[in-house]
Amino acid sequence: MKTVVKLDGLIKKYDNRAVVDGLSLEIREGEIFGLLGPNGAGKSTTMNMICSLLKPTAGKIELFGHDIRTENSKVKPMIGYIPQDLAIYGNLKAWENVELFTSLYGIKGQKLKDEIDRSLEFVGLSDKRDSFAKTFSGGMKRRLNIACALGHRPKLLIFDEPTVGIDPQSRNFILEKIKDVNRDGTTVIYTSHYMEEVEAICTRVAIMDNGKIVAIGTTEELKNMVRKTPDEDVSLEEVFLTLTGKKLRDYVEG
Amino acid sequence: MSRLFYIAKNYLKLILRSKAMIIITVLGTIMVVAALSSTFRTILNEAEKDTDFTIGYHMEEGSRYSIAEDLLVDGFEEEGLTVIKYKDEDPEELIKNGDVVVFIDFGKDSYSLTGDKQKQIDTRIIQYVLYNVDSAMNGEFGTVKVEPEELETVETPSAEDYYGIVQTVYFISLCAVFLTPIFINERKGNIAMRFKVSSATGTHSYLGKITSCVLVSWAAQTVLATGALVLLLGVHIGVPPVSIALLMLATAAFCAFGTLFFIIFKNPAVSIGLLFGILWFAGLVGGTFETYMYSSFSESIKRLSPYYFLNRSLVELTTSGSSEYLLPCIAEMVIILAVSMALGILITNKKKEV
Repeated sequence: MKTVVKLDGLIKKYDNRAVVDGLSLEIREGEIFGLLGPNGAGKSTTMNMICSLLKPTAGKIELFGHDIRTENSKVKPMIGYIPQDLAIYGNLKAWENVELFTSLYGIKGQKLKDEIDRSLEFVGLSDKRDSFAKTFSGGMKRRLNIACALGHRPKLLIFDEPTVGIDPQSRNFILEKIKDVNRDGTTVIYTSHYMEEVEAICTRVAIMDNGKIVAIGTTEELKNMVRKTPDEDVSLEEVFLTLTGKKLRDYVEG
Repeated sequence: MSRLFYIAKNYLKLILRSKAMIIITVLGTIMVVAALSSTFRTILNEAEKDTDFTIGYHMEEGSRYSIAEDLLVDGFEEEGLTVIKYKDEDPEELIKNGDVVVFIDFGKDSYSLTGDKQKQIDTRIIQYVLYNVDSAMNGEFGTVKVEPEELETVETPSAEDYYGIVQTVYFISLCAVFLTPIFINERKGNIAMRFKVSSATGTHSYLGKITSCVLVSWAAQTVLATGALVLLLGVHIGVPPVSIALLMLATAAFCAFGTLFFIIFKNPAVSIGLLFGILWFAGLVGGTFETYMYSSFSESIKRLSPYYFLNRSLVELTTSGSSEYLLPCIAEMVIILAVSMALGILITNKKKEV
């Protein structure tokens, strides 16, 4: 399988403090890759560097074989980013939000219209296409937030805690849709603090702490790392707490 | 181009959905012009009433000034003044009745001048003319050549025209406020990040904002508010194609200038507060709140105001059909537009990492 994301010795420092400290990692095509870690572990910084939002202090990032520093314009159309905070215009209708964000990739005319229909259909908002986003419930806004990143058919989708603050039905719907989009060939990077979500959808998981990867593998491989006996029933949360510790993490950004 | 089209289109929708702001801005212009022009009508129209200027005089028999009588009367009449010769009327009574503004009583060897207290400047001008004639007569009268000096005069606009123009200009300069709904929406969510991740550049985002703001401002202020002022208050906007083109250019320049505040300060409330504060001071200096003809600020300070050339050009286009301020005004607006846009694009793109 082709390598979609390749991080090589990635470092990001703020005031001489390494938030990401020599991270090396490969994500392969077709994976749903979970990135876990306590607050301040360096997950968001890593995601932001992959999305070209932050410059690495050192190291290299390759997406689909392209160095993002030198071939940024080739890489950008291949990425879809769903930020944790809602990134939609409340005073625009659902279809207008999708139109605006899809058009940023140069898609226009009938193709744009088709992509708007497809994206809204995919997240189950076709019947609400003419409603203003500000009138939506939390779950609907989350789904619209996702639809806005799908219109340009990215090959890599990055979800940054997409299910924060929504009801179980909406959460379940979103997780199913992530699996659907992955089945269609899209590689997914997923971060969440909900361990059961990661366990349910991710094919491989990396646990980060203090800017480094402390463990990487399938959920079963990670569980095996902490199992004392082969039959011991271990949850991913226990794995997480064992590897990153139980101490509270008070974290101030940047 | 397609990116810019869709960005500007959706920004336009965001602005147009804030109907209250547009209505307040348009109505605000009309109400302020109506209030100011009616309040200050007497001040500005004072000069217009004086177009009929009458000088009365009495010439005593055997007066040494009688040889200059024809010269004086012809000179005054050539300048459009009415000159009436009286016999024994009381000068003060004539002035009180409004029959004359100035009365000259030529005696045998001297003359006396009586003027309306409200028209002291006019009285002094006549006194100055007579002094020159008197001096000439004391010298070699035969060689005296009267060369009337061309005085530069400024035609006074009506209160409606003056305040209609300067307040339209002032409200146009505040048009960047139309961007508020866009920045409020963007501030609420993480929309900036979505733009940065996309294939669009900061320039697309910036131009989308400017385009939508300028289009709404043209429609709301340059067409709707100005049109309403013309139709409802009878405001004259000078030479329409030139004046409207100048207003449109100024609108674009002020939109670009105002957008800078939103880009730099991010917080819409702070941006609007600062923009309004700066433009209020510029307006104070530039003739928005006190007529620039009687402004108490020094010329060098007044010139710093972006309204200086703009107000003068538009007012003179209305009163005279042309203005020497027009070319400097166009140059100034083009510079404001170009510099503001260059800075806006630079700042927007600089905030975009990688």
